[in-house]
Amino acid sequence: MKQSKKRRTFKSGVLNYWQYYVLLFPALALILLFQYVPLYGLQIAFKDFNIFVGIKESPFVGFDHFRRVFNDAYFYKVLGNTLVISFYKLVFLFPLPVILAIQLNEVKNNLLRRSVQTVVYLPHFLSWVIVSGLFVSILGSDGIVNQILSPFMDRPIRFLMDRNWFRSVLVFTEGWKGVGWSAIVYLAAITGIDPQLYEAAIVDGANKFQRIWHITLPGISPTIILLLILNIGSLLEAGFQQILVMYNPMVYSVADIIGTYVYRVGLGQMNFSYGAAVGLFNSVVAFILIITGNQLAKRLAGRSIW
Amino acid sequence: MNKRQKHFMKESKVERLFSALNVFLLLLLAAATLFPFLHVLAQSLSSETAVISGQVGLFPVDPQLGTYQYVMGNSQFTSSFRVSVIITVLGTLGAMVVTTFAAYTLSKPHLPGRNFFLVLFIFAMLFHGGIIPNYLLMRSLGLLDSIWVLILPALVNVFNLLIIKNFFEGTPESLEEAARIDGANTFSILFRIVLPISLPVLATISLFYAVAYWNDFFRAMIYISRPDLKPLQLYLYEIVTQTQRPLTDVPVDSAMNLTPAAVRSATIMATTFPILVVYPFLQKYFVKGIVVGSVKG
Amino acid sequence: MKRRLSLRTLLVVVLVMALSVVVHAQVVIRHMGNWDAFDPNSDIVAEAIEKVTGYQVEYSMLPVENMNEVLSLRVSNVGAYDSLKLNSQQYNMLTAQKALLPLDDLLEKYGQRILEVIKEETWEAAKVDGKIYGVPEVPPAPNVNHVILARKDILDELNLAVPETVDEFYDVLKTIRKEKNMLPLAMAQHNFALSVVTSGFGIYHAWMEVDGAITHQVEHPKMKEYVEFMAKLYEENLIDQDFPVNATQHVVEKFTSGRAAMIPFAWWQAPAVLAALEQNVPGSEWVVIPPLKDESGNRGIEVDGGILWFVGIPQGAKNVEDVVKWWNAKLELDNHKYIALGDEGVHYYEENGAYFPILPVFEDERNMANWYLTGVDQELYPTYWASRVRKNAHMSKVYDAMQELRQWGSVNPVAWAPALPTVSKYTQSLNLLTQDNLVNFIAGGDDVRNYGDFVDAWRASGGQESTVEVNNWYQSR
Repeated sequence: MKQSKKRRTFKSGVLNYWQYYVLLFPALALILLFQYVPLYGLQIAFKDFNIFVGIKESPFVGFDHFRRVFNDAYFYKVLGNTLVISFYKLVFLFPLPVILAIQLNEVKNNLLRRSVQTVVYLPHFLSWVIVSGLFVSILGSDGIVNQILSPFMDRPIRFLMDRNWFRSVLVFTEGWKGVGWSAIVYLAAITGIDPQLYEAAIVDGANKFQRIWHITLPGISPTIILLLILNIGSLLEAGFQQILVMYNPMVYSVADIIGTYVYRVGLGQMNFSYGAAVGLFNSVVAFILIITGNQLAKRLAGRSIW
Repeated sequence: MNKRQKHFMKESKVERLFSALNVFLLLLLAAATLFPFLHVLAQSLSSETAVISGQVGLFPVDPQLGTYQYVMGNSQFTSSFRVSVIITVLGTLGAMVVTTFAAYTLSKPHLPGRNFFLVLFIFAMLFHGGIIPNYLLMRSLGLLDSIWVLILPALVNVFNLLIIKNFFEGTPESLEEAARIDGANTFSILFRIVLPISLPVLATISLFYAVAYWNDFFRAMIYISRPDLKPLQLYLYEIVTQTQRPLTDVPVDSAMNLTPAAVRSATIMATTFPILVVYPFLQKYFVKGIVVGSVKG
Repeated sequence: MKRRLSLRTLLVVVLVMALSVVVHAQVVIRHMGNWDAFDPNSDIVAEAIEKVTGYQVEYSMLPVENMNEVLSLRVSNVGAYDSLKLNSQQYNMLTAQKALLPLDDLLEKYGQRILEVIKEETWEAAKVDGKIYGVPEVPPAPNVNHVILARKDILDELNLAVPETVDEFYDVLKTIRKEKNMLPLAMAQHNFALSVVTSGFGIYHAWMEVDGAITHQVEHPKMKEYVEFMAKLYEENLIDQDFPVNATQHVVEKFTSGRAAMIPFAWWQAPAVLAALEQNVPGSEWVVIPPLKDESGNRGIEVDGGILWFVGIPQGAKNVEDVVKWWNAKLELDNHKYIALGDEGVHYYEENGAYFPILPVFEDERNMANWYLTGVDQELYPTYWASRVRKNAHMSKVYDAMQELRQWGSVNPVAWAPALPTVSKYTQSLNLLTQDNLVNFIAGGDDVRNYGDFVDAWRASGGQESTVEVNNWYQSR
């Protein structure tokens, strides 16, 4: 039965495939032109690139830049930091937008829901420079947080300079800045769930929690899985922009990530090749992670990107 | 509606407690996220003296509107505003067409070569040629110093494409098949059946594209050298970056012209506000029931 | 067929001729400068320049970030620009790549005025392998830019004199903390080497001459002592506990709200900072802390020197003669003054040989004039420029007080060095490395006893190569 249905769809589909490919064509052409054509630039990771000599004429040096990266003991330190920070962010921040979206969905009052929805997405629009300046004031030794804590503490907590605190600050500020924005896509997914399912569940006597657990969550699970796979792919990023403006030398040992390290070492030196080598390493790792994530999701959850 | 109300009456104590707690938590979060915005807004409406000495909290001190007059009256601001509106509108429209088309194709599980194309797109999302080959490409396409360089390369965002594709995969196949049996072709199925029931995700992704176009300053920083083609966010980025540079790095003549803090805040508000209002406007597409209702009706 | 073809040829010939006439009549010079917060094509100064030189110019800017990368990309696009205003790092980069045109002959032919108003020693410093690739523009004046500003009313209240030595400075901070329980000195992370204080250790700028050789301050025999002193201040809560994370805005906030008694200060901060202080702390007064004396009673403070900008022509530019003529015309006596100052009685007035701005016209119409300069008259321009400082009473007053320190002024010896490619390659990353380590030492993140390890790291990261290059130049001078 299932088999024959599949064959039928396939057969009837074949006749119309050209129409699908026509629909695919514009995006494909754009990607080929603007993403794939410049990929020849990746070769500068294997060359001693000089911008005035050009990519083609620059001398080939093989894996020299990669050797420099991997023979650098500090690189492993920042690689470790990157993974730890990404892991914290993934564990603590990935579920938050899902929870927020469900919470918003449970609000009956339309005006209230829309207002909260709009307000929580605001911080996404402030750049990290502004946000950082704000938190330096709030978390400073005479900032509001330390003023509140002062009756209980001998010394102010140096949130931004203390190695024990800094990663928590990173996770917190990123959550604060991004949770409302990230919830949007889940809200859309929840909206897409057939209301008849809820009505049927109510008739069956399911309470609110049961409805969330058995209808809302499964309804948005494809979106959750997709975003989880993509998030795993960006494990080596860990929030470069955020860390670059928020960290300081006191906390390098816990906060210096691949991106910030490469940025500092290469500052002003126009050393494109070294940066390209690290970038290529990151891309390869991300690609492997996404493929692995996709296979895992296929096996464990029966859903995957492809 | 009636049915719903009846069930609301039937809610248990626990459920009502949950609702109250839920609203309370949301309001708390809203307060925490609203605070910085109100702070910047208050700064933009306060005197420079009050701003730089840190007196401004959530309410303006020595209120004034001069900063906004100054920002809006700036010729760079007005030309940048125009550029940003143009690229955001054209870019979002174009991107939605291109992305939706591709996402629809890739949502068909039996399409020959589907997995190949998907991996091709994902690969493109992860690997980048770098600034130089991109610059050379734009130059050979004649796109430098043109607004098209801010629009065309960003028309396909693979992340957005995957989300739409994901959503399309969840739409009931039976609707499409019924239409196909009635003799509809792929295009009319897409436009008359798939898109109308996908409004929430289309609204979401339109928002994502609009915000991405509005906020992008990096492309303009590299590819645009004519000041009259600078988008608004580049203008803002420059002003913010300028004040972040250590004093010792700035030549005296530029240092004497640093943008005052209150003007900076006003610029932040003026460049952010137009894109903020997009979301509340799109929220009407997030209303439940539109999905099935539109199909049934 | 044949006739039609010849007709077409004729048409083409006529068109080309007409076009060439038009093109020749309208030479448009494309000039690119570094970033500033304005649109150079719509500013009124652009109009003024076109009016007095007759040349039509299309201006563009480098981005605020990644400027060197973008510069090299744009210059590699041969023929896209005719005239470039570069900082010394960019000049070094482009001359090292042979991307600039030698100007000696062109200046001889079309740039007599330029050759006249710029001093011989300045030309010498701009030469690379004996040739001129850029018209050098010196800083507007030998300015003292960075000091420490203190609340004089607080010093007076506590019967403290303005500190002259490191010990006195320490006592002042200590007393302020003890008696007033206020922050004695607010500072930001980039203030790790306070020149007023380093002077007390015999260090005045990034590179110092020590026993006939040039040494970077990092390797200066007294630098470790300076770091130890600052670490002591931090430990004893005499300087800002938040300084590793502070940006300028946080420091200014502490000072202008009356919570801090001193701040690192540049005179151009005066309009905003002193107005705010005056309003928030009525009756407050300020005083400039001069560079501190070292053990042998010597002191020094960095003054601007060397070459600030180079104006050059990229290889492959089209209208090279017109570009030099344009630069030359801008430096003609009347034109130069008109571009920098405007019209007498409209934009400025003269009093005892000094120029004063007429506001707000001057601010509206000549504020950005400096951006357009392509070389300055080394004798006259400083007097023109000084008018800018007088836009604001606070600024004028602090500026004058700070310039009294010029008696101890000292120019960084490397400021006058010509192209030093290694130094310019490593400067930024070494500065950041230094900042990172010094902040750590001072704020107690690392023990000052490890200072030697930092110096080793500094040497290994390009510091050694830079020092060798600087000294090769210095000895062969």
